[in-house]
Amino acid sequence: MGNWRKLLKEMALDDRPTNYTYSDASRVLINLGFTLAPQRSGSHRTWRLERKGLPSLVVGLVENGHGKLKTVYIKKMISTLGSAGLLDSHGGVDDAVVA
Amino acid sequence: MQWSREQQIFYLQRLPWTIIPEPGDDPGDFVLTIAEVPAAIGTGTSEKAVIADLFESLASALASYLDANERPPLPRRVRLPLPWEAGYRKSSQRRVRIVMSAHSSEIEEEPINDVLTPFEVTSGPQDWVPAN
Repeated sequence: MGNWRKLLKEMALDDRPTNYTYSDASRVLINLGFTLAPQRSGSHRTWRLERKGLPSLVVGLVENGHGKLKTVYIKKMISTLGSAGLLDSHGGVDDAVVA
Repeated sequence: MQWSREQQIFYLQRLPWTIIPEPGDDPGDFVLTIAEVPAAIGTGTSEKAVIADLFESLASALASYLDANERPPLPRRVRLPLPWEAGYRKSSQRRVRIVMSAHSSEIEEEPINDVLTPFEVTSGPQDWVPAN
């Protein structure tokens, strides 16, 4: 899927987001300005978005090769982005907030 | 005392986090999350596996905050500052052991008269006694 905005919108509007990979999720996060935190052992990956004057936004994913992510990872990611005001009610992204 | 990153994570992992079970994708899937740290997500096909995965995920999230010199979100009941932060006061900690069962609970309190070390934390998964 080429357009990360379209991908994010699909994720946000999907009640049961079963069809997304680690690569899909990380591509969205990179485009929003997140960076991958230094890795510890295991497959858990933590992505951070520094914000001026606000606590960092942190999203947890699992790097599982080309397999699909469990829905909870996408749901939590969307919930974190939404609660930080990065998404509108239709799952779209405001250009003003994109790095 | 100088706390290493691993000791800090060891200490933080044993705080009284709010652990929430979530529905899994398939029957037999276990999913746990931590309310205070949304990035901490554990999945697995057994209770043991999901708890281990949750705490590995929590460690990864906590490390990202600490590496950025940022205090991670903490459970409400945690006293601040944290033991390795400036202003931490000795002799104000209590050790509490709680045993929960279907019929009763008991609380044992044991005062600690000096600063906590990373290995004198209050509780952790190894201390949990499941209800019968």
